[in-house]
Amino acid sequence: MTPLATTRRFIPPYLAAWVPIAGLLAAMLRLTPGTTWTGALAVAIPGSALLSFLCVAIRYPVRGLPAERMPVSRLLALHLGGAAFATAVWLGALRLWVEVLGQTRPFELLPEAFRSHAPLLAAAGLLLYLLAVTFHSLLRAVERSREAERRALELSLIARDAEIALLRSQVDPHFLFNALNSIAGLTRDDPDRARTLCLRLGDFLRAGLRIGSRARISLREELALARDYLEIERIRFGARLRVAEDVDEAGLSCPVPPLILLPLLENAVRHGISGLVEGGEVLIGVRVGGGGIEIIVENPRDAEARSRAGEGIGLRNVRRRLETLYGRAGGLAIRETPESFRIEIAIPRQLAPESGDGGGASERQG
Amino acid sequence: MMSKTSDLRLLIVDDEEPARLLLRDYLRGAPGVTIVGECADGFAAVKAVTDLDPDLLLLDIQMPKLDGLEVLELIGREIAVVFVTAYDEYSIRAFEIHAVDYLLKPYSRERLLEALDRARERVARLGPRRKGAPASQAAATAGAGSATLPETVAAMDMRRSRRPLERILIRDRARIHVIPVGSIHYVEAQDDYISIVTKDRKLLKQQTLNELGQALDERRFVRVHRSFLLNIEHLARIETYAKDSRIAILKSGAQLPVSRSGYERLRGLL
Repeated sequence: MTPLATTRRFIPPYLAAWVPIAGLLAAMLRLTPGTTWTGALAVAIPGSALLSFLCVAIRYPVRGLPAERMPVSRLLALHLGGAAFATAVWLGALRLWVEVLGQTRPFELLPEAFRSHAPLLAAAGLLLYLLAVTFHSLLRAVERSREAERRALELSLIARDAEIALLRSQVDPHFLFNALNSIAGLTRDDPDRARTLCLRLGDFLRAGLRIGSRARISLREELALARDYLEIERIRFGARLRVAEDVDEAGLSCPVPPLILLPLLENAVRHGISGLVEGGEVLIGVRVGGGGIEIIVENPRDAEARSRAGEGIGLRNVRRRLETLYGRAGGLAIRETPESFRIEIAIPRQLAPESGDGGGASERQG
Repeated sequence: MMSKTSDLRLLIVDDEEPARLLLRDYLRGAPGVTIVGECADGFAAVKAVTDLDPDLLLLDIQMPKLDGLEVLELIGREIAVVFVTAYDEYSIRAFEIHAVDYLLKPYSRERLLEALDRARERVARLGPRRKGAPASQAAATAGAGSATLPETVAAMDMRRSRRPLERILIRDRARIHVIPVGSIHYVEAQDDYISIVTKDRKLLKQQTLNELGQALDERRFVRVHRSFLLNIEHLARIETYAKDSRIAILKSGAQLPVSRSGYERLRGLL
């Protein structure tokens, strides 16, 4: 879990910290009359070595426990139980070692000394263990908060990128050029249509600017913008562009990222309808279910058109925005046949919790 | 000055009605100009050029079926063209194929008239033509002008080759065949023609195998033999009969001879 290099750097200071502890243990054993320094150290050094190992090893159970999602009482009970168990194991092992040592000449008195200090040793072991638990928990908390900070920064950067890209690219400038050209073309022969086009274009741009600066808008607003857009394109393409809607009213209040639908429609018009001599029907569908909404845009296309080089920038942006905002709960799927192209996007009703998957990846440290 | 015989005869090609209206409106009252027709897609444009023999095309680029550049390729002879589009990314390619002008939508009437003046110069340079002559004869006459027919077409194909060809266009009298390159099994050289073989068709085109080979994606199409170009996606296996005598067997069952150098090229790719 931890890169070896960083662990290795901490070994010498860690071991150094255990030297005084071993000294204290030895001094304690020396209090019993008849124990020599040699005898006391022969117990204290392996004893503290074992304990130091145990105190490192608990790093893993500490990290494994989903501390944030557990009741405090349960967490406390778990750690106390763990401490008692670890101390018992430690004392047992130490006792075995002392008994073995006691068989030989200069150490006969050691078992006696050990027994008389057992409660004190247990208390020391328990204390050190709990100290280690506290330390590891603290370390973990610090790492987690740093990780969370880094992620938040990353998210805000992506969001700002997306915002800039949004304003610049979500509204295809060629769409504007073509619309202006249509207005110029209609002014003399069909002034009413030219005027309608001016008004729709005004509505569209105003709504686009207003909506683009907000983090979330309702699907109702997004759909209104989409209709303005299609109205403008319908003047350009005439009867070739037909629009059908199949919208579940229950989804209209759902918050969605602004201008998320527009690139899908631009794609449908630019790569679908505009390539067909007779045109076709763009279908906008909204379905509610599964904790969110699903928006569908489907269009016919020319099967013989030149092959498209994968996903355009517009669709890629939509996919990226959905992934950034909703993680795995949101997404974009494409279903295509030679004659038709269908995009489905899923938007959950709520924002996904940002650190939802406390899995291994977030545990990594730099 | 206003005599009809010296008028510049225009064909308007744009799939959007308001865009055609704008051109008509701008051209209303413009001196020395006759609009001979309007087309809303590339196929219609190719046919109209044959039928109406205009002097100048006012040509949109993004259109259904065929784009403006493909329309020019199919016309197959030098014709004065002014591109009219909202996209500026085609301008370099447009001038490479000697477009008279390139108008970016929306444009002013003055800008259009300026383009028409240039077009008049170009038409004059292309040489005198008998009005109403069929396109093929007109093209033959145009040979006396600045460019001959095969040169123009070949040059166009070469320039297109920077990005591999995605589909092959074949004009067969009134019909236009559009063949996506992926559906081609192989191409065989036959004298001055090439024969393009797909699952259920065999179409002739007047082009050399070399030219086509250069325009196609070289990672997909391999010259396995002097006379054969193979789409490796349709290759099933290669059988060896004797030293340096191999046969490529396609998934369709067709068999093509493989020369030694062809085998080397094929091996380099697979």
